[in-house]
Amino acid sequence: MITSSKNVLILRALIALCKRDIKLPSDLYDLGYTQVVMDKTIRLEDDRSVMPDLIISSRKENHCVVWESKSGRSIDNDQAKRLASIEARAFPDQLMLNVKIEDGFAFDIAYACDGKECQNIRVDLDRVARAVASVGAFPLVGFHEESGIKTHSGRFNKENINRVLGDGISIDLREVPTEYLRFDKDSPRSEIAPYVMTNIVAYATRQDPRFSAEQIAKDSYGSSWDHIRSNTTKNEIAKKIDNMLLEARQNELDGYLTKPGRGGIRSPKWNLSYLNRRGIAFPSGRLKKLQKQCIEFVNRLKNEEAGIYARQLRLPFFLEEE
Amino acid sequence: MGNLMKPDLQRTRLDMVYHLQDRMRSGYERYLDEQKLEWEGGLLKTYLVEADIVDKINDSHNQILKYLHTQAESFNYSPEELDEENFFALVAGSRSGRQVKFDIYYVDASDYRFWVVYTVGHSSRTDKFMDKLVTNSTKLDNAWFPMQFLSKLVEKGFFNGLGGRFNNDPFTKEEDDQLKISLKLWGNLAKDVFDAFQNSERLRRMFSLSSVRLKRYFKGSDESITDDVNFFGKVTSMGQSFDSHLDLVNKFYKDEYKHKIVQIIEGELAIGIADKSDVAILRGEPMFVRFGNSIPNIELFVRSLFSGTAPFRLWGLQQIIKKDFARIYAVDLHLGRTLTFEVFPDTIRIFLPLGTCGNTIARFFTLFQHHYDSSAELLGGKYDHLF
Repeated sequence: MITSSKNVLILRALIALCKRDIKLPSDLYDLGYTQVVMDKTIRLEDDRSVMPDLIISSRKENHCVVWESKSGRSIDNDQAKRLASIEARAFPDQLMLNVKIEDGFAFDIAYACDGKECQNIRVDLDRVARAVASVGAFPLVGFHEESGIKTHSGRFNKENINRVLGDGISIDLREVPTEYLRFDKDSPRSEIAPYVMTNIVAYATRQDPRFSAEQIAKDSYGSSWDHIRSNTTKNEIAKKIDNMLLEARQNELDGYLTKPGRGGIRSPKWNLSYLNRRGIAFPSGRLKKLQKQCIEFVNRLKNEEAGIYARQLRLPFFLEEE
Repeated sequence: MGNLMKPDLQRTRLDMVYHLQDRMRSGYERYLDEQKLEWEGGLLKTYLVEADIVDKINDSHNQILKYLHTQAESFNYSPEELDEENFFALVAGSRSGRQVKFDIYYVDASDYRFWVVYTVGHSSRTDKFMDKLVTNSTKLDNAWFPMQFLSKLVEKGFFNGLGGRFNNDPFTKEEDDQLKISLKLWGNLAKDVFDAFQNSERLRRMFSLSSVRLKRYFKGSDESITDDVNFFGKVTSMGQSFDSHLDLVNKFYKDEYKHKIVQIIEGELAIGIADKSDVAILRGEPMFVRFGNSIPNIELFVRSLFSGTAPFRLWGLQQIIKKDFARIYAVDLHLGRTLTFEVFPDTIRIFLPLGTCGNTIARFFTLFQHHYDSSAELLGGKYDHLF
């Protein structure tokens, strides 16, 4: 499961390569990797299970890749061993992917990581390989700011993807869309805030009188919210958003955002209004002012986080703005 | 309005068809005699409206009726439930001196999402009424026909007239930089004029079709029908056959336009987890508005486009990622829904979240052609030309 925002960036880039995007390379899309599965638990033979970060599948290549994205310099040994236990039948039977098992089907378990950490991850994989040999054969793909995405070590079981990732894909990671995977529970607040702000403005536009933090969390996260299996994760995201709104109400959104109700994250206690005194929305100076205030709020969060992430994170593309 | 005598209503669709057919015939004769396009009780106007009201299909009639009642006071009309399922009338009165004039709008919501609204009222009143009804609602929208859609439409008959407009007001405040054109012409040389405009490098980018006039002859007869199809979903019909008018509207609106909005934009291209099944398959593709009129200053451009004001009514939080790339988390203020735009100098990449109305895309693209670059193209997924 995704554990940090760096993972989110890597996974977004992998998904973007599977889309037809005229502004980005479409190498994986061109090879037919158009089926993208997220947040799916795979049952293993010995009653264990594993949830990889991402699975992509190509009917044309008759091939699937199970991706595990690493944000740091080490791997979860147990997760690697469980990933090694995935069997071919899981792809059509459990994941409902359109592949033909009896016709040259192959799959790979691949790791994706920050280009600077490839060597450390490889060492970890090789160490686990002493117990489970197949882990040593997992291909490892690095994400580099300068040279893009490139296989560091290991080989894929299909030549085309092996060639494409072996040659490297040049991509400006700042241009990778956020929409495929908006954020996760560990994402910095400044990455969540734009979705929260736009959703509460959307509620006000529709004149939905009250909304809860949980509702905002669901609408901000997007359609994969229902696939988050852990209620704890959902509650953590909703709580983070609730706190964010409290802070915004006391600062930049004072006078716009109100809390007429009480209660926890499920309580419809929040309200936002940008109507003018006559109850008319357009044209409204208040709406423009609200835009300015929301931007200021997001920028303040960014500035506050900048110091923290400069210390904690080492992915060069993490700092979004030049 | 309640104490005044209201006009008689046609209670069924068939009665409405006979009634409108009669009005079309007398209207057309007068048009031939006087060559005048508009008068009291004149030509048939059909407004094409996209509605996001029904969430329980089995209860569509009641949901639509309830909605029409909730809006009645604000827009000064009286909603009437007629004798058939999803068929209603709005009776709107407006004062003209001491007189009160009533216009009847028949709402055929047999397709509960893609409504067809008929009236023979004077367009000075009906345009205003429909504009107010749709613009002020987050549940209703016009059908929006981009340049390519209108220019293909004329292939269904003889291209007998056109309207065009362009103004870059939303993007420039400097009077010297403002570019404007507005014209309407008719006659069988319309295609030649259009082709000439398309062959001009400048006009190709700064002249967008706002309407096309389409003339069709009935098989084995000299009789004809002429329809003016407007970019915001209004069709004015001059002729004697309601059936023929309806046939045209059904073909381009309920078949072609609806297919693009529902099957392609919302069905194939909207981004999200497709269903609530156990497997979370991420579906959808980005859409792209591609244009030749390169944006000189992205920051200024996005500030203008996402200010929340008309005509685009898009409000957004912009992040200028680098000099030639910005991401905007936006709200479509017309419908109150969110979507994401990413702006490059020659392309706008759009992500429509699953469940958001595809009409937003048609509206944005059409208005973009009217205000920034009329040669812009919309593509996405396997479709090089979405319109």
